[in-house]
Amino acid sequence: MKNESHRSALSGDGSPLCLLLALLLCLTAGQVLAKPDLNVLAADPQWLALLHFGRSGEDYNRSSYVDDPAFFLAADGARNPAAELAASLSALEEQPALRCRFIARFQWLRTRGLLGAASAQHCTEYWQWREQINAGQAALVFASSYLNSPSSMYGHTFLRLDPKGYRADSALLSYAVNYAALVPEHDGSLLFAWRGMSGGYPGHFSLQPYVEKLQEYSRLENRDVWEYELNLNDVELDRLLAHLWELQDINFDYYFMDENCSFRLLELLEVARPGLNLTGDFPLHAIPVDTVRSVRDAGLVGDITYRPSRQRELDSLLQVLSPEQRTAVLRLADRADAEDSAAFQQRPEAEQYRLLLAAYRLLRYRHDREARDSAVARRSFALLRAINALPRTAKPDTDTPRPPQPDKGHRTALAALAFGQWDSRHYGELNLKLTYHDLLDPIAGYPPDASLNMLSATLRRAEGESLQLRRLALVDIRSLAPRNRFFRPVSWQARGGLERSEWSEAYLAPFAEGGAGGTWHLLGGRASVLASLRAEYNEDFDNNWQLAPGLGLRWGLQQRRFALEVDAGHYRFTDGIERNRVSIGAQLHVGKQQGLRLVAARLGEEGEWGEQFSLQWRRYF
Amino acid sequence: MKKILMASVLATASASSFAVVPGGDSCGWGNMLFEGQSGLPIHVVASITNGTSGNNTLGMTSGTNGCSADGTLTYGGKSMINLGAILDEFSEDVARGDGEALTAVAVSMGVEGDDRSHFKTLMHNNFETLFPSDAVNAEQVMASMLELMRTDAQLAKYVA
Repeated sequence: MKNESHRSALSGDGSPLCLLLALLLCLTAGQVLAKPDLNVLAADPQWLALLHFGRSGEDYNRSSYVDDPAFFLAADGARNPAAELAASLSALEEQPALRCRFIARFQWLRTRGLLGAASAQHCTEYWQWREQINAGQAALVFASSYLNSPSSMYGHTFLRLDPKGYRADSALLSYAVNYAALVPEHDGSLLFAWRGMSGGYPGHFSLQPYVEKLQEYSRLENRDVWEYELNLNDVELDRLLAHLWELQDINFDYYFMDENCSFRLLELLEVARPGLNLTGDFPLHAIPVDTVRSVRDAGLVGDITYRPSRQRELDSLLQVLSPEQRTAVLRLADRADAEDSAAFQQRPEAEQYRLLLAAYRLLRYRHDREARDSAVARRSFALLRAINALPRTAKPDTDTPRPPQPDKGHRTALAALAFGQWDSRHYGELNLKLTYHDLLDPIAGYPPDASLNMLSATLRRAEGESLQLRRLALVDIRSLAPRNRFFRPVSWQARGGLERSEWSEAYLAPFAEGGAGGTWHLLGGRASVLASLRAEYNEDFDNNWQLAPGLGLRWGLQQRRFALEVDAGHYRFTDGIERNRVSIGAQLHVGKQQGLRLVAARLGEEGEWGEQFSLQWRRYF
Repeated sequence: MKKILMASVLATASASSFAVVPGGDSCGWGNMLFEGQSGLPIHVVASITNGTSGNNTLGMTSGTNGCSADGTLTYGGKSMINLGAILDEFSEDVARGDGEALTAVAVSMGVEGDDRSHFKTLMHNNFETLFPSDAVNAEQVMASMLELMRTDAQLAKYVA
C-alpha cells in the first residue's frame, strides 16, 4: 500500500528522469523526496488512521470518529481528509507551536518529505510527559466480565505502558491508558446504560498509575485481569505516544456498543503500526474480548499474564483446606487472639501460615468496599503480625490455578438451527444471537455462573404453518454465583423482550422480568432459588397488562466438555392464570466453536400440559 | 501536600536524599488497613460505572481512588511508587517476606536485582519497625524503611 502511494504520487510529477531518480532514491534511502500529490497522500491509511477515519471491512468511513472541532485544522476536516491535510501543512508550517500540539501528525508529514523546511520544535511539555512515563513496552489489558455493572458486563480493555530498564521488573510501576466515558457522578447505572448506548457521554483518554487500575478491578470488583504483552517496537511505541498526546482533551462521543473503550484502543494500535486493519473487524459492535482476539490474530501479542482477582485468590486458598480448617479460618478472622490459642499453635507452621493468610485476606475481602473500621483494622493487623512471626521457610508463594484464557473462549455471536417437537407437531427453528454467553455454552474463557445475552431472535417454521417470529430477546442476564461460609453474593436475573407462549401462539407478548435469590453448591453443581416478578402485555389475556410473581428453581453444572441444567419455573398472573415449565437441558461442546444442545421440557398453562423436545446445533462466530 | 510534591518533582536535579510520600489524606482504598486514610471513596461510583469523573486526562491525575494528582514520589531523582496507595499490599508482602508490592518498592528505590532478596529479608525481619501499629501512615513507613536501609551495609548505598 505504501509503495503504491509512492508510485502514484511520483507519476503525478511528470518528468521521467525525475521519476527514475526519485524511484532510485526511494529504493535506496526509503524516502520520498519528490512532492507527493496531496490527494493521494490524503488517502494514505496512516493519514486516515491519524484522523480516526475508521473502517468497515476494508473500506474507510466517510467521516472521522472524533467529535471535537479542536482536533481539526480545516473547517470540514472531520469529513474531508484532503482539506485537513492541506490545512495541517500550512498551519504546521506557519505556527511552530502547533507542531507540539499535533506531534504525530507533524512527524508523519515530515517523514513523507513534506514540511521539510519546518524544523521540529523542542516540545518541552511533551518530553517531560514522555520522561515521566518512560515507556519501553506496552500491553493490552483485559479485565474480565463484571455482571454487576452495566458498563462492564462485557469486560473492559485498556493499555498498560511499562517503564524501560530495571523499572520494568515490576508491573506496579506501569501506567494505564484508559478510554472511558466522562460520567457525571449523579448518573446512576440505568441512566448510564441508556446514555452510554446513545452516545450521550463524551469519551476521553486518561492516564493513571496501573496499580490503581489493578486495585479497582482485582480488589474492588473482583475481576480477573489478563495482560497481553504487545510486541510494539520503539518506533511504534513512539508513534502511539505522540498520537496519544494529540488526543489530550479531545472528545469522542462514547457509545457502549461500538465506539467504546476497546474500539478506541484498536485505533491507537493502527496508528502505532501502519498497515494494520483492526477497526474494520468491528463495523457494528466491539466486544472487548473480540477486540483482544483481533489484536492477537494481527500478530501483536507476546507473553500473556494472568492476575487473579482477590476473591479468586482467596477462593483458591480455601479450596485446598478441609472443613475443619475452614472453620479455623473463620475463627481467626473473627475472634481476637485466636492465633494465640494452644490448639492453633499446635498446627504445623506451614498450615498456620495458610490459615492466617486466608483469614487475613478474608477480612480484607469483606471490608474492601467499606469505610475503615478500627476493630477490623486491629484484627487484620494482628493477623499480619502473626504471619510475619512465622519463619519465611513456612511461607511459600501461593499459586492460583490459571483458568483458560478469555481469547480462547467461544466466539460471541451465535447462529443455531434446531429441530423440535411440540405437542406432537414438528418444527424447525433458527436462532441468531448478537452476544454473548449462556449457562450451557462452553465455559472456557468465560466467568462461571454468569449468563449474559443481548439481541437474540428465534424464528420457527412448524409443520403446515408459515415462518413465525417466536422470540426476540433484548436482554437476558443471570448471575448465579454460589454462596458459602465465605462468599455471599446475591443471585439475580433480568430479562426483557417479546415472546410467544407455546399455548397461545397468536400474540407476541412484550415482557420484562426481574428476580433475585441465592445459589449454593449442591451435588457437584450449583442450585439456585430465585423469586421474580414478571410484567407482560398479552392480548390473549382478558386484562392485557398482567403482573406475575414467580419462583424459579435451577440446578446446573458447567464442565469442560459439557454442561447440564434442570430448570423449573412457576408464574401466577394477576387474573389467576398459571404458567409452569420444567426442563432439562444439556449441551455437548464440539470443538471450540460448536455445540449440540438437547432440551426436553414440560410446559403447562391454565392446567394443561404438553411436552417439547428440541435438538439444536449451535455455531459460535 | 501537593505543593511539596511539585517541589519534589522540580527539585529532582539536586539528587539529594529526600522522600515525600504522595497520596494525601483522602487517598483511596489501597490502604484502609492503616489509620489516617478512611472512607469509601466518593469516586467508587465512577469506577463502578466504568467511567471517570472529573477532569482526568493525560496529566498524571489519579483516576478513581481519590489519591492526590501527581502520584509519583521521587527519591534521589528516581520517581517512586506511591507507597500510600499500596500500603495494604506492601504490608502483606512485608509480613510474608515476598510479593509484587515489595518488589515494586525495591525496584523503585533503585535496589538492583542482586540486592532485592536481601532488601526483602530486611523488610520482613523488621516488620515491627515498619509497622509498629495499625495507626502508622505511609510517610512514617517510608521514613522507617529509609532508616533501615541506611543502617544496612548492603543497602546503604541506595540511600546515600
